[in-house]
Amino acid sequence: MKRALVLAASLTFALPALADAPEKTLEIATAAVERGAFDQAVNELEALSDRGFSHPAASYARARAYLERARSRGARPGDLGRAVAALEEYRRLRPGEAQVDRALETIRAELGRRRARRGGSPIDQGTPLGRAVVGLVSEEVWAILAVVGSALLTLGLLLRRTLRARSAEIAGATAIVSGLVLGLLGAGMTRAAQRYRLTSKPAVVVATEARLYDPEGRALPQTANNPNVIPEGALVYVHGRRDAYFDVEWGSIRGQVDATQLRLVGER
Amino acid sequence: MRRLVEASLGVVCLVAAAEAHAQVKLETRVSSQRVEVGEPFRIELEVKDPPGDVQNPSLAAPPGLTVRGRGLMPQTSVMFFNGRMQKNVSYIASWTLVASKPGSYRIGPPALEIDGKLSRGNVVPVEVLPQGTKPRGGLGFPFDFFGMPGAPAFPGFPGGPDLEPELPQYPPEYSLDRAKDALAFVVTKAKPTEVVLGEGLRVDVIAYGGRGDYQGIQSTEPSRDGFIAYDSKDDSRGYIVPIGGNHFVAKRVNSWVLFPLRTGSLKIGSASFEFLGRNYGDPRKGVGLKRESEPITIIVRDPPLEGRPAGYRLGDVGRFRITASVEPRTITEGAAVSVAVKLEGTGNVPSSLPLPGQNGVEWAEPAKSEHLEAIEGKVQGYRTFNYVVKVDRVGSVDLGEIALSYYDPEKRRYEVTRAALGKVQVQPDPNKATRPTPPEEADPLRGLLPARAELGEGAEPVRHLADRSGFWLALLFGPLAVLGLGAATRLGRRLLEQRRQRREQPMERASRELDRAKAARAKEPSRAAASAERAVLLAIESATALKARGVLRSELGRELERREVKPELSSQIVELLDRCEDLRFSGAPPEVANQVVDAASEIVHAFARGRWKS
Repeated sequence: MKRALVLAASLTFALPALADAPEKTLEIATAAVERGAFDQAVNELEALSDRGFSHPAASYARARAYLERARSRGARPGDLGRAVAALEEYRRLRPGEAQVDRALETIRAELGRRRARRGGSPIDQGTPLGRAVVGLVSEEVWAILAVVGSALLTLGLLLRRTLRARSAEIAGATAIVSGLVLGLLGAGMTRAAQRYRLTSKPAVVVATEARLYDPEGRALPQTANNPNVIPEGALVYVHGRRDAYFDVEWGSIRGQVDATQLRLVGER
Repeated sequence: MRRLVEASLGVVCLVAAAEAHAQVKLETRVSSQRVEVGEPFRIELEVKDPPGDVQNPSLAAPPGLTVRGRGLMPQTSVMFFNGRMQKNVSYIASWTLVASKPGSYRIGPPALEIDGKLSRGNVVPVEVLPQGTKPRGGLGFPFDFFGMPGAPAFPGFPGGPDLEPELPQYPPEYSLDRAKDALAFVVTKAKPTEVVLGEGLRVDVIAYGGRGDYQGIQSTEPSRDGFIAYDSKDDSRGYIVPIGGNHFVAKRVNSWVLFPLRTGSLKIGSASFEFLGRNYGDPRKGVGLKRESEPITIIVRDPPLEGRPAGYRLGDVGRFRITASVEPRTITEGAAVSVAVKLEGTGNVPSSLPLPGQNGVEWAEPAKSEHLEAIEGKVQGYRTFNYVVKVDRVGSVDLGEIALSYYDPEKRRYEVTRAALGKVQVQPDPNKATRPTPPEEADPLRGLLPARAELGEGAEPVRHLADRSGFWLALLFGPLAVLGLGAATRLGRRLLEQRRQRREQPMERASRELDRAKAARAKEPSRAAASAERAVLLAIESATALKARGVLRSELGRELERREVKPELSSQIVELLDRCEDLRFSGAPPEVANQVVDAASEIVHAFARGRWKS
C-alpha cells in the first residue's frame, strides 16, 4: 500500500514535468537561436526528435535553427537541406500553410542558385509522374471519391432494377456510368496512394550532393538528362535500406544513396 | 605493414641507408648478412612516397648466387595528423636469393624504376659459409628463438629433442580451442565483435605454425571497409601455444585498433600469410606455405537512445577530458582572444569540438595538433585545438563553456566533459565610428521563418480510410448487394416456374391421382376406380406420349405394344381399365377397389421406373 502511494505520488509529480519537457526544449531552442547559439538550438531540437517527439512546432523550430545557422558564419554543409527536410515534415504534419510553402520554395531556389554558381547540374528530377498524379489530392479524398462512386453505382443499379419508367431508366444508366468512372478512378488512386505510402518514405538530401550508385556499389553513369548526383534539398523516396545505403527513387531514376546523406521526413 | 616486414623477416638492417635521389627515399635491407650454402635470404628495397609509378625492380646477382623469387608490393599506411587523414604509400621490392658456393659477395645494388627514372639502393655485402658451418643459436631477435633454417629445432617439434620444454607464458588472446590445420594456419581475431558506432575494437592477425619456427615472406592485410584503422604497437614476439595436444609457434602478424564508421554488419576480410622455414614450403627455392584466415563480421549498433544528451554526436565513444585556457582576458571591441583547448583520453578522440556560439562572438577554424597512438588494443592520446575568437561586443562577455558528450562503452552510459571559458572584458573601440562598414548583401533567406511563440496543435496520427478493414469490401458491397438481390429474385422466380411445370407433368399428375385413389378406396370405390384409371392413363401418356383415353379399348393393347410396351403389361393395363370402368358404373365392395388401386399403383410404378419397355 505504502509502495503504491509512493508510486502514485511520483507519477503525479513526474507526468506534468514530462509533458512540459518538449515545450521547454522549444523555448530553450528559440532563445538559443535568438542569441546566436545555433549549435545548441540544433542539438536540443535534434535530441527532442531522437526522443520520438513529433509536432509541427518542433519541425518549424528545427527548420528555423538550421536556416539561421546556414546564414551564419558557423554554417555547415547540408544545413539548408536539413531546413528543407524539417519544413517538408512540417508540411506533412500541418498541410496548407502558405508561409511554409513559400519558405520551402525560397530555400530551394537559393540552393539552386548556389548549385549553379558551383557549376552543378541544374536538373532537378522533380516528382515522378505517377506520384504527381496521385498526389493531386490526398489519399483520403481519393478514398471518399471511391465511396461516392460506389454509392452512385448502387443507386443506379437500384433504379434500373426497381423502376420501369423511362426517366428512371435514364437516371439509372447515368448513375451507373458516373458511379463506375468515379469508383474505379477513386479506388485506383486510393490503392496507388496507399501503395506509395506503404512501400516508400519521403526523404530529403542533407548533403551538398548525394551520389547515386547501382546495387553493386558502382557510381551510376551520368547522361545529359540523368545526372548521377542528387542536389541538396531534393525530395526523394526511400524504398528500403541495404547496409549503409538507401534504395531511393528520384524522379525517374532509381539508385543507392549513402544513408547519412538523407534525412527521412516524418509523417502523420 | 613495415613492422610486419621487420618482424616476419627478422630483418637485419645492417645495410640501411637512405639515399636522397630526387627527393625519393630508398632503404635497402637484408634478412641476414651471414648465410650458409643453400640457405635462402632476402633483400628488400623500400621506396617511400614515390612521386610516380614504381616498376621494374632489378637485382643483378653475382655468380654463385641465384635469385629464386622476386616481388613488388605496395604498402599503405594511414595516419592522422592535425585532425586530417594522411595516407602514406610505399613500395617494397624483394628478392629471395640462394647461394650455391661459399664466399664473400657484394650484391646489387638493387634498383627500381620510379616515375620512369632508375633509382638504385645500396650494395649489400653477404658472407656465404659452407653448409653446416654457420654458428647456431639464432640471431637474438625477440621472436627468433628457434633460429633460422639450420638452427637447432625446438623441443617437441619435428627434428627437435624429446625433452618437455619449459614453455614461455603466452598472452591469452593467442589461445585457441582447436587448430584449423596441424601444419600451419592464420587466424584473424577481433575483440569485441559487437560494438557501438565509434567504439574501438582490437583486431589481430595471428599466424600459428605447428612445425617449429618460421618466417613470413609475404602477407596481405584484411579488407576493412567501414573502419578507421590505427596500427597498434603490440607484442610481435613468437610464443609456444599448446592447441589440442600439439604445440604451435604463434606470432602476431598484424594488429590494429579499428573504429567503425557506420552501423550494420561490417566485414573484416581474410588475411594471408606465407610461412617459410625448414618445415614450411621449400626454403631452398624460396617458396613458402601460404595460408589464409577466415573473414569475420563485426556487428555495429547505434549507442542507446536512452540517456543520450542533447548535442551528442554519433561516433564520440571513449573516455575524454577537456581543459581550456583563454588569453588575454581583456581586449578591445573587434579584437580576438586565443582559446586553447586540449581534449585527451582513450577511444575515438573527436577531431572537432562543439563550440558555444553567440551573437558578436566569432570562432575561427582552429589550428590542431595531436598525439594519438594505439597500444595494447586502445587508442589514447590528445588533440589540441587553438581557436582565434573575435569578440564584437562591448562589456563583460561570457564565452560560455565547451561541453563534449560522449558514450563510455565501459560504463555503458553517456558522460559530458566540460571546460568553462569564463568571461572576457571587452573595451569599446574608439576608432569604430571612423571605420567604414561593408554594405549588407541581399539575403533572400533573411526573416524567412520568423520565430513563433505558440506551440499550436499537434498533429494527430492519421488512420487512413484505405487501411481500415472492410474499406475495400464496403466499396463493393452496395453494387454487389443490388446485383445479388436481382439475381436471387430471378433465380427464385425460375425455381417457382420449374416447380409449376413439374407439377403439370403427366407422371406427377398420375402420382397425385394415385394418391387420391388410395385415399378414396375405402369409402368411395367408384371414385377410387376413376382416379386409378386416370393415373394409369397419365402414366401411359408420360411414358409413351400416347393419349390412351382417345384409343378404343379394343385397340389399346396393340397400340401399346406398337409403342414397345411389354405385352403382359399391355394386357394388364387393358384388363385394369376394364375393371375400373365396371367399378365406376356398377360399384363393388372396397376389397375390389383395393385390388384395382393396387394394380394401378403397380402399373404407374412400372412406367415411372422405366420397366415398361419390351
